[in-house]
Amino acid sequence: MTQPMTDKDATGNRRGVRRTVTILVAVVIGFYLLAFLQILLMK
Amino acid sequence: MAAASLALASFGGVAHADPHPWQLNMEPGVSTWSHVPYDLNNISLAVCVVIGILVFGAMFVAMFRFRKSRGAVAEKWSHNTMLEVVWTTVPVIILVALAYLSTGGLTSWADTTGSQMTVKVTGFQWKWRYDYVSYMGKSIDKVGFMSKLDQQSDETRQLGSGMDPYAVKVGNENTYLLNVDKPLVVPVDTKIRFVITGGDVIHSWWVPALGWKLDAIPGIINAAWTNIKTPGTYRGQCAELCGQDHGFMPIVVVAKSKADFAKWLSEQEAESKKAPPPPAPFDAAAQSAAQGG
Amino acid sequence: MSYAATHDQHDDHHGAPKNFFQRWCMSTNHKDIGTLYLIFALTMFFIGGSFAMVIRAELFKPGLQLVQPYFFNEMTTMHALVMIFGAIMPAFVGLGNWMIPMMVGAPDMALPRMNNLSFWILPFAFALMLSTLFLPGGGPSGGWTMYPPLSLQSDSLAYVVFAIHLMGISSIMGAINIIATILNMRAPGMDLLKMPVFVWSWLITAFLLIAVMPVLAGAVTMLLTDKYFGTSFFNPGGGGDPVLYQHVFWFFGHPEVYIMILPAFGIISEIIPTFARKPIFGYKAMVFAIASIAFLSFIVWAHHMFAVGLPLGADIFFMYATMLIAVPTGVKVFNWVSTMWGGSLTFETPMLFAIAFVILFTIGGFSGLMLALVPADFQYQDTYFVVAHFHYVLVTGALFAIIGATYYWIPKWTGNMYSEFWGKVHFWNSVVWVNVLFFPQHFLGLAGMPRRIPDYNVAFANFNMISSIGGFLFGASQLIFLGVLIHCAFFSKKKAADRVWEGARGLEWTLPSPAPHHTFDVPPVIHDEELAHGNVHA
Repeated sequence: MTQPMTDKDATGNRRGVRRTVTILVAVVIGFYLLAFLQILLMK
Repeated sequence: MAAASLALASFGGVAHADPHPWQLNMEPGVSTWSHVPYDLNNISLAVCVVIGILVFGAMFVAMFRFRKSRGAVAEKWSHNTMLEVVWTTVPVIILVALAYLSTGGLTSWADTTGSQMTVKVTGFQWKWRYDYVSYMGKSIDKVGFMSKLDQQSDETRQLGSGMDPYAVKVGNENTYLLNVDKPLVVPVDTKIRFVITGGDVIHSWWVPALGWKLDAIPGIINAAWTNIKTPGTYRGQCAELCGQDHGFMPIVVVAKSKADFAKWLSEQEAESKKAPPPPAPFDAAAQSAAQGG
Repeated sequence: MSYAATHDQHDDHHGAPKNFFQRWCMSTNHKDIGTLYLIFALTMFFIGGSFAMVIRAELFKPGLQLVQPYFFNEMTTMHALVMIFGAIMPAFVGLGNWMIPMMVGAPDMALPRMNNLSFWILPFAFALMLSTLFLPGGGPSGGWTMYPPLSLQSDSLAYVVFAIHLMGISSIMGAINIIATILNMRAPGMDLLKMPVFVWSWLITAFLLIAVMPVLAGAVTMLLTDKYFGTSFFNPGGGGDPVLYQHVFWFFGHPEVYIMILPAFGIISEIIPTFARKPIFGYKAMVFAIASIAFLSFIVWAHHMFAVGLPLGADIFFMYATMLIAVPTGVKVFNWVSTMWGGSLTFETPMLFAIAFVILFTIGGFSGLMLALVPADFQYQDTYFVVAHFHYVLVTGALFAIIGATYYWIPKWTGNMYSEFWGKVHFWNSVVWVNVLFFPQHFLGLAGMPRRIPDYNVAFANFNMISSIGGFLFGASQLIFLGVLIHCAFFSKKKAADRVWEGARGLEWTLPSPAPHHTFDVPPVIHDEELAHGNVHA
């Protein structure tokens, strides 16, 4: 049995994915930058 | 003298300091502290065996009693709060007990104060260097040497040498890869402080009979102590990957009585005070011949 | 039997792409990408296994018979790098890719194209890494941990660092994909606390990956700059400290080993309830235990450094924190046993591997507890006792879980039943020979044999010979597994039902076997009684 998937649901999912990915990518880039900043500071 | 002390160590009722075939457990060692890892090992092993018997026992009973082929019908429960509380708190209690024992043992190991002797150990690729720094408050000058794998082991271990590792012995004891040309000689019943460092890469100085190992790191001076109770010869190996001959730079510690050690030390100091032989005069003809004309 | 066959699940109107290149190189399908990861992992497993065969062959007798010490070090280093980054981790990613969307009622992963990229990076990264074995100076030989100054003596360092960066990027992208999928694409009604434990375990593992893979990248980059760009992070002559590397590396390294075991915990929590025909005992405790273990994994890293000369306070802190992990881990083991207790048990191949996991992983956990006690660790560190410990948790732990999962889910993937007889032959050979291989290594470590040495004193000869025999036979047994897989995928005539296993619960079992190329294009209705954990009370 299926349940209807409205455009609203799909849009909600799409927005949620984009928000999740943005946050996580920001975190990862942040870690990388921190690491390289630390490398520069300690050089 | 050396043979007699070796015989004493081998047959004098001393616990094995060196590995023996089919050995299942570690040894209590020969220092005042080395019983600590031995005791912790046995106690924690016993705890694990008991827990294992309980848990695996329950599993085997379950596998037998609750087989579908025996007609077992599955229950529906998936909780039991009292049981869950018990098996969370009982492990914590066991862990606290183990932690208490370990903390005491570790704190006593970390205290190098009150040492009566200091030896400096330096790890190189692929040999050790020992330098005697002080003994009984007196600083020692110029007693130091390199200690590397003994020649017979070195020849035997070459790839495809065809030589037999079982033939590398000192007396009745097989010493393949566990013997050196110049061992570290120390006195018994003396708190000896080791200061350990590395000359190129990280090595690790380990003699199981003393109960501990400590890394030899370039740029860092690590410190540990030991107090050996029984005269004898104790063998160990480098315990940190340091390149191709990591497995071929063993450690040998010879513990002598205080009188014997004092005698040995003064002989070494006398040796080092002797003037070195005068350098040979420069022979230009021989030099150019050696260089191929 | 009536699994609510709908027009939608069977109306896979476009199915899989017909073009081979399109289907396998340009895939955006979680099932095909999962298959790619699993085949890649199996290949790397045999390659890493062959390096282990060289190691055990040389260690068969005292004396050096086969390889030079330097090459032996290359073998130990590459064996670990290949097994960890090429076999175990990609296998779990493959299982996650296949099962997570089906388990939560999603049509695919959140970012299907990035999913494809994550996979295809790996064959290139490993080709690069393995090719260093053919360099004039050989491949990396300083251990998979790559401690400086030793690792800086390697001419292959730049290639290995680049390969590791590539693998790290693949893992990070994969982890982002998994989190985005689980948080946003569950079918309505699939609440977080109704998800299968396997999905929870991957959600938590994905956060660990994001947190620590950049740290590894930083550590190896510092090695690279120390060697080629004049920095002195780890060079005392320039004001640096070799121990700094160890701290940074193990801050990655300890969570890494939990990355390799948490999905295994999830798998076991799927298999045992199915074959016990009883719900998992303590579902919420299981989830909470995984989360606690993940959190604790960040504060124990220096237990890999007890022989380094840390300050007393550090030794004590890390000892206590490490011992604490035994508590949630113990809860999990007790819960698995309690799931079996009072059940209605049958012992098909997946269940056999799951039971072996619980017993043998626990043995690995015991040696781990012993290793946590610092004064005892002074005697265990860098000996075969440690080697025995981590092989128990990784081989009889992670690997057995992966193998069990494969037997468990392959009928869903292929639509065919594997040969139960040969599965059991594979199981019994594996479990016997793996113990012959690794159990004696405990004794070797206690007797004083260091690790990473190609030759040893004759006192260690007996157990080394036994271990090597176990190694050869364990390796050979895995060829049986290969045969079972090939037969199942291509030659088996026995068709699998949708609900392959009588006691299986969960959305994936409502789908046909084999699962169509596209599933849950439209979200399913969630019936709590259909789920393994729909009726969660506490």
